[in-house]
Amino acid sequence: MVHAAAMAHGKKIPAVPPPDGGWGWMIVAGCFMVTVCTRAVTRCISIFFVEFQIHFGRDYSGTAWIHSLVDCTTMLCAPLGSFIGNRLSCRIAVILGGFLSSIGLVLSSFATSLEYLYLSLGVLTGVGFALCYTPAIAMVGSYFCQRKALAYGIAMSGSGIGTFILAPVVQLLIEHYSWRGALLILGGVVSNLCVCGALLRPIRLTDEEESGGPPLLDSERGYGVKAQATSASEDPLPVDRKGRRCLQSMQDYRFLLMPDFVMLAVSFVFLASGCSLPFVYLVPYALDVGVCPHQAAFLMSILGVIDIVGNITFGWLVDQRYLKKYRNICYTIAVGLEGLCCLFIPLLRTFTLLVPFSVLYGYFDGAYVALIPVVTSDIVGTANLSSALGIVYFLHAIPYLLSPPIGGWLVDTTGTYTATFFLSGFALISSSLVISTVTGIRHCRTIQKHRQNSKDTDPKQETYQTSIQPQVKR
Amino acid sequence: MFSPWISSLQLILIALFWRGIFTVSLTAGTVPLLDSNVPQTLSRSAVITGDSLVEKVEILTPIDLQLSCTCNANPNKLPNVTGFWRKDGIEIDNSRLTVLLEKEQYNLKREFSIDGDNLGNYSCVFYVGDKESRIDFYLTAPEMEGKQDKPVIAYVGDSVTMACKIKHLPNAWIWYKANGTQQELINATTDPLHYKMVVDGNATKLTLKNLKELDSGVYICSAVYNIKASVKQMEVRVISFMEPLKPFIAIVAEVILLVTLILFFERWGSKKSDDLPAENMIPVDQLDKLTQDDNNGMGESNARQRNV
Repeated sequence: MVHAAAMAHGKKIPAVPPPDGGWGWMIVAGCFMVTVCTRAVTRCISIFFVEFQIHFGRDYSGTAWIHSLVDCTTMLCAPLGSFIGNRLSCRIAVILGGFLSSIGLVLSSFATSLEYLYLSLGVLTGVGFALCYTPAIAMVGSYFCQRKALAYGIAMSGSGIGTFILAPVVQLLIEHYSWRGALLILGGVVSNLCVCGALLRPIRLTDEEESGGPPLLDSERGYGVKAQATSASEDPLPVDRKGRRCLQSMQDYRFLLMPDFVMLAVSFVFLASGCSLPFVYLVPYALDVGVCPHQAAFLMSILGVIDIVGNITFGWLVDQRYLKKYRNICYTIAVGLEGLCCLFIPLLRTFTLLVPFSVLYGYFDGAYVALIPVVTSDIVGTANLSSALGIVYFLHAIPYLLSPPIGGWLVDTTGTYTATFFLSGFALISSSLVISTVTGIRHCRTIQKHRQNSKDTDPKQETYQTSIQPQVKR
Repeated sequence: MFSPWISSLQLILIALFWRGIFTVSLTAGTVPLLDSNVPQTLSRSAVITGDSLVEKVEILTPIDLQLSCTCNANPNKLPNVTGFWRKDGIEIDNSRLTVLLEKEQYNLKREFSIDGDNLGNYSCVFYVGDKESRIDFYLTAPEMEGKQDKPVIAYVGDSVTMACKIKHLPNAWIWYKANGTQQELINATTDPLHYKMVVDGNATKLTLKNLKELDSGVYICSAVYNIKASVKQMEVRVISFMEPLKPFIAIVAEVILLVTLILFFERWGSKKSDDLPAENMIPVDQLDKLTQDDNNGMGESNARQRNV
């Protein structure tokens, strides 16, 4: 991904190992701001709904479409973002995305009808966000290796912290400048994405010098290993640039054929189907069982704050030496426990019982969000992380869009919220089951292979293998 | 925070006790018999100012209203206590009575003729020994839903909509614009380019189109009932688009400045490092986890293999 940028600039950027610090923390700060400007702003758009309803004389469902459109477009166009990040450079992709989204918001401030808002706010801003989101996250993965989970935890906490700060700020802007002025100023705030883009200094990693050969994933060694059989090519640009680009894009998406990645993708679809439902239906459920409105709102605040805590602490935790090997297991456990929490909902009928639910659910939600890029990079490697993340977030889009209405339909037909929360719980648990099955199968195969190898290898091969073992602990 | 709950609780009590009023509002002139049995035990009062209870009554049309209060006897069980009525804090003449103890309760009743001029706060007061217990009845016209204490901001050339909603169907809705101390009636039919008024039963909306700076001011919507009109004030402020444009331009300027600075700093930093020997070989300290190899050439190919 980044070698293309280096070639494009014609400079020879020195190849370095992942710095795990230094400019990497600026990248984390940049990614944090990107998450604030994209995810948090998306959530704050719902604050404008009342104003839109009054001004355009429409009801709630007409305005709710805007939020769905932004969310959906951001996720659906994530592959586009990663594609541009690969072709041109992450920096250019993010700057372009920032430009597009701020133009979208500025144009929305001149809206004359709700349909105009669908296009300018829903589509244009959504595409802009999509161009920023994936490249920025992928960039963090290049700069960090030892402390990858912590870096991602800090970067992803932007959505929680951003919502916390932006929500009152947006409210204040609407009071002082009405929704038009507020959208205009929000467009200015979002243009800070260009600053984040400027921070994303391209880096050329030592792993990527061998760009000519196909990445061979040695599945027997577990995740995180990319065996490069070909020797390094110290590359002068080949004559046929177009052909090379085609080859590159095929290579970029080769991971799609990996069975590991396919199973991961299936688990992500289940995950996305289940994870958004409690956020949407916790407050209505709480009101339904008799919790008073301000306590129900407090539940959501707890959820949001603990989400941030979960992001950072779980990321830090999983980076510790003793847990690094078991990263995938930690991720699986976090998702599984989150699903389990949802299954207990029918028993929680008072505010005091719902608070632990909020705390646990929020913590594990923050936990898995920070680990998604880490788990993905463990499977596909750092070079393909950008493209892989594009596909991963693309797979999130349709379930995000469809699951709240399906949940609503379940509530309407059954009359209670139990079915919805059960759906969410089972989806999350199935997601963790898929991953644990794959991990289990792989583990059994590894043990089998090692048993076989230890029976009939000579000492030379053994030392070769053991010398490579430490690298697996990445 | 909890006040909406308290007032809705009160309104529920009113609905239970004063259903008579609403039927009476349709057939004016009949005398409803109203009872407000509010048990009070003096022994409970720890408040020195005395026990008090507030009841809100919404009246739509002039009626003759009978208010009655009941007070539970304290352990002392005085055979008679003094009771009287107050309006807006001032004792009503000739209302002082000696209330006899009946079945462990003190009862006080009085009939009032209520019209638009004498709405207010009617209280029945019991003087038991030195202590005062009272029940306040707030008699008012229906109140509008929602509060607009912050001004509505709108832009020159744009339009703005104001809405008013009330619980009971009024006879008519009228909109005014406040002009100093005077109120100007807004007639949407004579000025359709400027105003649009929509009446929908309990709710009304006024849209101001093609706003100009002098459209700023206070707008009043009034729901007309037989007894009185209930009003709500809303302030509209019309500003030009320059106002939000200033912070926007400031932020964009800051963004451009930061981007330029970052890119410049990076180029300057890379120019500096260009002067140093190029390090396209993998540095040896990267191999600290693995076994060291002193030979540079061998180290390079080994590192390649070890990087897998």
